[in-house]
Amino acid sequence: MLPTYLEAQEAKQQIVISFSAEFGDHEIQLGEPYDWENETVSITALKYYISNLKLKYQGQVVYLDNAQAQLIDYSIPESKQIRLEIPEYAKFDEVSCNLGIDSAMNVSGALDGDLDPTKGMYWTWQSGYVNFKVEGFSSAIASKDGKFMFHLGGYLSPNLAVQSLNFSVDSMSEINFLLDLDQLLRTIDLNENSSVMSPSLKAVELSESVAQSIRIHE
Amino acid sequence: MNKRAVVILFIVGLVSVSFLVPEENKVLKFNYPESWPKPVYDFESNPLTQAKIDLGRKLFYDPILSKDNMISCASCHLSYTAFTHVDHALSHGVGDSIGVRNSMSLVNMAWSKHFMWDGAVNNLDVQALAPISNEDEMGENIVSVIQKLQDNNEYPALFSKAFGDTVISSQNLLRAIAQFELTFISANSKYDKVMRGEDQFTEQEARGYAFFKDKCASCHKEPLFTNGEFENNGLEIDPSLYDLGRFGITHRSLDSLKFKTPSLRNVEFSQPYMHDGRFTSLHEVMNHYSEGIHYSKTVSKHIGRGIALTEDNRVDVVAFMLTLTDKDFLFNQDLSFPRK
Repeated sequence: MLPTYLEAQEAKQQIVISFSAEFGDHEIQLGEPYDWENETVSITALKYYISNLKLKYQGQVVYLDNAQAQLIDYSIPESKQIRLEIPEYAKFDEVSCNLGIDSAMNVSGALDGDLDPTKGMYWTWQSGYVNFKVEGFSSAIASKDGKFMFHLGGYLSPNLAVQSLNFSVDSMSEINFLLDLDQLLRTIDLNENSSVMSPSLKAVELSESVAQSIRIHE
Repeated sequence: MNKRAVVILFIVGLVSVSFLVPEENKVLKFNYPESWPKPVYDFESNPLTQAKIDLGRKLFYDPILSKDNMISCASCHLSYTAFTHVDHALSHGVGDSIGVRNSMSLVNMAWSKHFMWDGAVNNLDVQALAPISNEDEMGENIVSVIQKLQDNNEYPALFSKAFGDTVISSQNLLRAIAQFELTFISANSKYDKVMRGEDQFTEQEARGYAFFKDKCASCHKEPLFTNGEFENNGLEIDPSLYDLGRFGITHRSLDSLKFKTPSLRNVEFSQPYMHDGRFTSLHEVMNHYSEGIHYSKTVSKHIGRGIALTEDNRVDVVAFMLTLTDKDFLFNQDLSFPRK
C-alpha cells in the first residue's frame, strides 16, 4: 500500500498533446470550402488513431500512455487532445506514437472504447482498423459529386499501413501535432485518384505521405 | 482483530461470494477431446458462461440482426445441416440478394485462426460484423443493430444477466455470439469412436481411410480435417464471379485462387461443396480431384495435376467421409433454435 500512497503524493506535471490540421495557415473547419491551387476544397471528415504514445529522454522511455488508442476526430473537439500526467521533474526530449493501430491490436478481437467498431473506423468485410480517414470535396475531381475518400489502413504485410511518428521536443507542457493538409493534398492527384478504401500498397504509400505531413507546431 | 482472524474472514468472504455467483455466471471450462490440439481462441479475454452462451444462441437465431428483420445467422447456418446453407451454391440474404460465396459450415470454431473462405476475418469475435454489414447478407450496420437490441423488451435484461450491464455494447454483442459458436464442437462421429476404440470401420471405410491419410490428409488434417490454411485445389475460375480468394485480402500473387481448407466433418450434410458451391455430390468432388484439376502455379503441391483415384478408391473415400457424420452434433438440442 505504502508506495502507491507515496506516489499519489508526488507532484505531477500536466502535459497536453493537441492535434490540429491546417489548410494554408487556417485551422480547418469541417465542411468549410477553401480556395487552394485553383480548386475549391472542403474537408467533411477527418479522423485518425494515435496509439502507443511515449515520452522519451535520451532514448529511454520516461512515460508510456496506457490507453490502447485515442481516436482523434475533428468533429469532436475534446477528442483532439491527450492529457498526460508525469512526475513533476521528469524531463523528456522526444515524443513518439503510432499513427494508426499496430498488427497485434488488429487481431485482438472485439475491443471497446475508441477501438469499438461502432466508431466507424473498423472495416467489416475484412478485419482491421482504418488508421486514418479523410473525406471531402474538390472542384478538381471530374466526377459529378467531386467527392474524395481515403480510408487508410491494413495490418498484413506488405500492406501494413501503421506509421511511427517521432519528434524531438523540449520538455514543454504543450505539444501540438500539426497535420499540414496543404502538403498532404499536394502528394495526391485527386483527379487521378479520389478514393482508397481498402488495404493496398497505395494505402501504405498514402499513409507515409500523411506521416510526412505531420510536424510539431512550434 | 488479529491477523489470523482477518485471513479467516477473508476466506469465508471468498467462499460466500463464489456461493453467491449464480450458476449461469460461473466460468465454464471449455471441454474437448484430450488428443486434440489446443484451441486457438483466447478464452481468457472472453471466459465462457452459460448466460453468455444462451444470449449468443438467442442472437444467432434472431433476425433482428438484419436490416429487414428477416435474416438470422441461422438462415445460412442451420444446425441440422452442419451449420451451412444446404442446397444453395451461393447463399442469399436480405431482399433475396445472392452473395458471391457458399456459406461455410461452422464447426470446431475454437481451433480456427482465420474465418471466411478468404480468411478476411482474423478473430471469431469480429466475424459477425462481416455478415451483419454485408449488403447481400444481413445488410445492417452494427450501430443500428445495437439500437434495435437496446429498444427491445428482452435484450437489455439478458445482456445485464450475461455481462452485468443493461447498456448494450458491440463488444458484448460480438462476444456473446462468439461464445455460442465456440460450443459447436463435433467430436463424436463414427471416425472419432473408431479412434477411441469404441467402434470399427467396415473394410471399405478402412480402405477409404488409408487412401485418405495418404492423399488427402495433408490439407484435411486430422482430427479437425482441415490444416486451417489456404490452398488452391485446382478449381477453374468462374468468370462470372472472378473470385481470386485469399489474393483479395493479401494481394500477394502466391495467394491467388487459394481458399480456406474447409473441415470435412459432417461433409455428408454440408453440400453443395467448394467456395462457390459448384459440386452437389461427393462423387463430383472425387471426380474433380482425379480428372478435373485446372493446373496453375498456386495449385497445392499435394494435388499437383491431380490425384489419381480408381472407381473403387472414389467409393471407398466417400464411404470413409460418411464416417465423419456426427449425429450428436447435428441434432444437439443445445445448438438448435432456442425454445423457451
